[in-house]
Amino acid sequence: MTQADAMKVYICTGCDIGASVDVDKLAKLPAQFGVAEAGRHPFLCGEAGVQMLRKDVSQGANRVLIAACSGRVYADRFDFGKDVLVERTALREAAWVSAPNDADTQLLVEDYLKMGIVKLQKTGKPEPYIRELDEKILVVGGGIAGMTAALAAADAGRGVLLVEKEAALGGFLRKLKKRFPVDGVWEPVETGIAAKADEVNNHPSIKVFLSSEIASVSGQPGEFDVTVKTPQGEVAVRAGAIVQATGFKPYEIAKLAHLGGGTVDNVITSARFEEIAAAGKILRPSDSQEPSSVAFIQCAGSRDEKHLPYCSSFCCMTSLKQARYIREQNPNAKVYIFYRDMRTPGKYELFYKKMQDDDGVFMTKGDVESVTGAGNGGVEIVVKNTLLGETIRVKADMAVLAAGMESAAKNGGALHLTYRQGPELPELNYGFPDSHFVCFPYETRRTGIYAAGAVRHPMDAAQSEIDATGAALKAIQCITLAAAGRSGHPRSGDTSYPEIAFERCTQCKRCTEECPYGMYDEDAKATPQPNPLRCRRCGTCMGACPQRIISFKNYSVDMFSAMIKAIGVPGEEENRPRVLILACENDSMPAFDMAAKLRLKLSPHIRVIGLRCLGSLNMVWLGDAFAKGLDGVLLFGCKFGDEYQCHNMKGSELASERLSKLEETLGRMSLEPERVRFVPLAIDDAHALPGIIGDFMKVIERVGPNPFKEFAD
Amino acid sequence: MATPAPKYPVVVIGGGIAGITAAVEAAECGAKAVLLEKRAHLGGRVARMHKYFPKLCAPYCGLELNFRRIRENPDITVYARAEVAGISGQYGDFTVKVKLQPEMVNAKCTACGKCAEACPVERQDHYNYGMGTTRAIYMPHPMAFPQWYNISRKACRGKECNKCVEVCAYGAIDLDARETVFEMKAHSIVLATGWDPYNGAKLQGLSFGVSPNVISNVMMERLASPEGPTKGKLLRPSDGKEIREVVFAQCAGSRDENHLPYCSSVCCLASLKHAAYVREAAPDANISIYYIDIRTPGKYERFYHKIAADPKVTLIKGKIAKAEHDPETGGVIVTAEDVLAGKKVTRRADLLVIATGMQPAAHNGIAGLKTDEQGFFADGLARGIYAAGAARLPQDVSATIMDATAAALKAVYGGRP
Amino acid sequence: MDKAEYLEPDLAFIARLKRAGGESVKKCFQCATCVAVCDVTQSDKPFPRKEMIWAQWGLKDKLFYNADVWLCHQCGDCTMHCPRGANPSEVLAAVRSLSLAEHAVPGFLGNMHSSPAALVPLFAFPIAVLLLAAMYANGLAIPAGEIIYSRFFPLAVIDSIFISAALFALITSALSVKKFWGGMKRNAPQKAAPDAAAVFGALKDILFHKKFAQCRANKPRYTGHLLVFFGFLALFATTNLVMLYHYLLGRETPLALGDPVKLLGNAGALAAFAGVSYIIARRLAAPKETGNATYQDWTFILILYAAIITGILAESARLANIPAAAYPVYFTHLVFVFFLIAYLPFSKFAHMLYRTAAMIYAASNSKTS
Repeated sequence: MTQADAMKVYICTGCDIGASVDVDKLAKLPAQFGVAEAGRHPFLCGEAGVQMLRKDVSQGANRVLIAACSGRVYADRFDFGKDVLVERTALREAAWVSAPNDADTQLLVEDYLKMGIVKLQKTGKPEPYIRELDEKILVVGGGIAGMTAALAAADAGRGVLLVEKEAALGGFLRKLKKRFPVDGVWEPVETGIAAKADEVNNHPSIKVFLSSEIASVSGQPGEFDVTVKTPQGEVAVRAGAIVQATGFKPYEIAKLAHLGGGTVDNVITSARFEEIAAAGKILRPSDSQEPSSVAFIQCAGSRDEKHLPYCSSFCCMTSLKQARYIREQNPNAKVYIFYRDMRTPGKYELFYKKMQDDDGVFMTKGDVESVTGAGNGGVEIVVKNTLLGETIRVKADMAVLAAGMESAAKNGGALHLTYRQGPELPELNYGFPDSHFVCFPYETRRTGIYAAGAVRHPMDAAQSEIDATGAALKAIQCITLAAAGRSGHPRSGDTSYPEIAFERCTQCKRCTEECPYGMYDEDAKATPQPNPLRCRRCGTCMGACPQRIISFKNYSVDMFSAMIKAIGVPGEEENRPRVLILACENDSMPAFDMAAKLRLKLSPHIRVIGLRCLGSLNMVWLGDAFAKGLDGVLLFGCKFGDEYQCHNMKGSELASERLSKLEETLGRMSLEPERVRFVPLAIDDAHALPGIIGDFMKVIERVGPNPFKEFAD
Repeated sequence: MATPAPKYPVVVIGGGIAGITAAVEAAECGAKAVLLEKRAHLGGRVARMHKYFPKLCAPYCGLELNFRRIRENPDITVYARAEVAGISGQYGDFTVKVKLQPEMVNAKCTACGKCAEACPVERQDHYNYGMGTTRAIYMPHPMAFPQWYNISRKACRGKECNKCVEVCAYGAIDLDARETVFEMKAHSIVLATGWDPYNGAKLQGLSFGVSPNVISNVMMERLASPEGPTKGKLLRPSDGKEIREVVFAQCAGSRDENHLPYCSSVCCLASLKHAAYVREAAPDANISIYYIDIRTPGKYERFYHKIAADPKVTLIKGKIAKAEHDPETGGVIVTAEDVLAGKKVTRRADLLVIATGMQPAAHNGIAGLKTDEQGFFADGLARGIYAAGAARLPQDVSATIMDATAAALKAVYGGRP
Repeated sequence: MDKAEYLEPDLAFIARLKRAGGESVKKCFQCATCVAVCDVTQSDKPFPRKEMIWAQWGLKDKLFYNADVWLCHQCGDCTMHCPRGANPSEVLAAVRSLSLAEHAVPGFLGNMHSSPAALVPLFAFPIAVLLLAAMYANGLAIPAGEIIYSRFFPLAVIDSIFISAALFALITSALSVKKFWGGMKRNAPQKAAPDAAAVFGALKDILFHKKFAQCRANKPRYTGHLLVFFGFLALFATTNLVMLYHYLLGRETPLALGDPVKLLGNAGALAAFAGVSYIIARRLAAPKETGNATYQDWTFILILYAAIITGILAESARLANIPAAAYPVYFTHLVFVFFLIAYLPFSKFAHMLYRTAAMIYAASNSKTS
């Protein structure tokens, strides 16, 4: 719905814009769209400029196009409230990357102004999807992470439902004699797990389901319908957000046969050793004798391509702790620790330092070659490449394999989501639920569902407590945002959401399969069933839909088709090619801004349009571009794959896949496939832009003008 | 019954990744947040990194998203050039005294850059760890946020020069600006004051500060960056010659009771990352990393494998304890024992990168808060005051973000410290 | 591999080592900083890192029968740089300290030198012998007239006592070094028997105090030891030259002050006195730099000091013509000198044997590697 009469266009002539282009000519352009001549100001972001804008807004302008600088700056100054739609056209950045007072630059900025007007015309006002939401937090798993998350959320005033599959709370920590220290005197400390469990059990805001599991979860943030299987039967509950804290499983001894696990007597895992120690005196399994020597073998099954390729991160500290148990029990006992690297980062180094300074502890780096029985239940260990300068053979009364952790998610079966895309949190590698590993560690692929603790990544109890507290915040935050119809990461605060014209749906399932967040469920006929509160507003579904029936109030296929069609395409004889660039706004558009800041020069024949995510690329836009007579299309998105950087996990990957299916279509249109290219671009790749674009322009030169140029309107 | 939104904002001290995260996460929960940063721009130490491990991705990718959240959220207020002069009160009702440095460049700045072109003074570039210079009025790098220039008061000649004022079309410069002090109320406080690199000059025998070809890991970040002093070209600092041999000395000052007794936890990963930088910038160079233990926990192990598998990268157990200028080649001669081979080795390197550790940044004006002997904020600060990030414990970006998110929860809802 | 070859850390040995001065040995985390900063170590299988882990694991045999332990000159560079405060130089000093008893033939004399209580019998023996000799020679009466020490102790008496002591020392030294050498061969088989070059090379290094000069942390050690070393050598030469004078030239003591042998002797005494004074002063004033001195270190240096001082006093008393002081001081002097010579292979003095042996062993090994 367009309201051209309430639209006002403003051109800022500051920051070199006025000095680079013919502003007079520009200012007359809006007339083509039934909009009044553009207003101008030499310093639009300054007080006087903003005042001018406010005055016009108060007098009825409700669509404001600011043709000035990039939308990444001064958002607050150009914010006139919910009822005024503001669009930013980055004339400044365009001018900075182009030659001043040049015909091509003029054409460039004119196109941008036209595209901006068209875009604003096609922009509707988002109406937040507001529902009455349940604010409870469901925590799955009652170990240290689960209990911490539950208490953190409860302390924040939220109701909490805690589901634990064992008959008591505490998880793995219940089996510990002590925890390793994090500070202070550097002695193993009480786990405190019983007290914590009491706190949880007695907390008025936490409802605990013991010996229970989740049977199913359906719905969306704020409206999760959960069925809990309790000993008394199934119970239906509701929750607003979910924290999965189902913990880990110690790596099984049977898999450690190469270290004597399961085959040699008195070779046990550290988990089993801890159980023995927690039960009282440390006695070796075969004959209940007190061991006078114990050998610890680190990295048992971890850091091993044949077993767990990652490092389980808590085993070095655990063995040091367990060494302390033995030495405390028997000051004449000998403890050997064979390690590959001693991993006691941060302050944990001080515990290592302390444990070293014990006469009865013998440590060396080395590769354990064999672990065999040595008669009388003893164990013989051969270690190569030691620090002692030779292969050594050691006899000990028992051996402890410092076995690592596997995520409980590896076995599946925690959440039983009724989502179309699968019942559990998607994984990337090693069985851990995937999230944006470095920068946004809580953001899983399922909105409102957060993984915390060792289920997510190998971590110790102390780190799990922090992780769980953070997850509780994210859960609360999700509900807070959802209650206002606002999205979470990466488009925090976005109130738009996809709307579908179902009557034209062909049930092709692309949206339901491709949505990175599993927003769509399907009915029996495969018609998509949107769950708007799961949506992160990336627009991938919009891009996927071949029927183009999905759109947001302020982001639609039609909008970009119109923008493309607004681009002026000079005739073939003018030798002014036109290349459309569709760029992801998270990383690629800022890279363009940066190129502008650095005054790098780019071809004036490009027309850059920002997308929420390259995943929202709809193939019709390519058709529109070529039909309009543009000569090429360059797509910039974030890197994908195992080391993905795409904020929507798969967005650019999906765009790239769609492109691969395009070759055939292009061929049928007698268009060279080289006219379309996807280039992964990172936010700091500004310096590469002139080269990338330059190369592409050369390709376009080589393949020649679009044959449809003459037929375009 | 959710706890009602706090009356006063959560005040976050420190605008690095920990502080930014705490502020943004708290604000999206319905609280208001105030972010105080003593420099003119946000981003702290991560903004000075070229890439993150393990994905070798740009720090600004994550930062940009956070800055967007800050820009678009009216509940977040950022005060740059702000220091804390004192804290009093208790949870729910703190009073924070804030000292704002003179706002010689104000928000009218459009970052057009004309002032820097006109400025006649060069000063040492602290953003690039002293390598290179900037004008007295400068923006540390093109993506700096808030997007304004800043004047180094030490270098600026003031009104007797006045050139920047003359060319500024927006009236954004006021050389007469004064310091302002004000008080604000806070619901709770997050201490996210971050870290400083350990001073390599204190490491006797490693020739840091003596030989220009001995650099620290943080300096390597700048050398590798296209926005750095060498535009990303990796050449020998002393004479610009090509680099053929790069040596990394791990645990330079960490795990050392004469310096930092703890492990700084990120340097192994940082050096592996730097090896990747070298592979790209100087593909013919040989790289050796001398370590005590390689610490790449969790999924980082994969990154270790990837770098170690490169035939041009060698890892040797044995700490480098001596590095001397080599008058013959102009490079550095390093000495260590190759422990597993049982041989004392010396190696000629063009560039020695010492992996210096992290120590908690000094924080003036917040005296009275308990720190441990190394200066980290101790656990058990008062209710309502929470430490996050490297101010609390040496940790990497991912752990810092978790830490800051947890601190945000406690800050908004008054959790146990 | 033989089933009997299990590595069995010797906890008792570790405790002994700790008591002998190596109490920080377990703190080492094998970073090898010590090796990197040690200017004295060889490059192949360098010390002291491997010794530290051997010590941590109580591998007695490897430590005792190892040339490297004696190649260490206890500069202290390693200790100064050690990030864990493990004090490698102290640990090696403690190993050397225990080594003396270990290598000693006969063993009981070695053990006695580790124990303060044993000082009583150790001194009692030479005192008794000398008293008996004095009684035999002159009935313990202070001779009248000019102070001529040979009146109190005729040269024949002195020579028979001290040459016997020297022979005893020589034989037991040879046996002890043989034991040491045999053990070294067992642990690190020789590549070649030591030849003249190895021997001369080692001797040259010793004479020129090459290793001491390389020490950075404890530079004054070079000066101190140089003075004591050459001072002692001068005194030793003096004693032998005096014998030569007597048996070949018929010249008798006391020699004239201008006599070259006398000059040598006095120069030696002064040098040695200066050297020992300096060493003691350093140990007291800067214990961190000099490192912890063990019981044996102190007993040796103090007895040496006493021998030098009593010698100087004996000459002074003679020149000042105070017989009542001179002869008793001379007697005392002889006791101390006897202690030094007879017990040479069992006290800290033995470092000259073991260190020389180690240097020769190492030189012959590294030549062909």
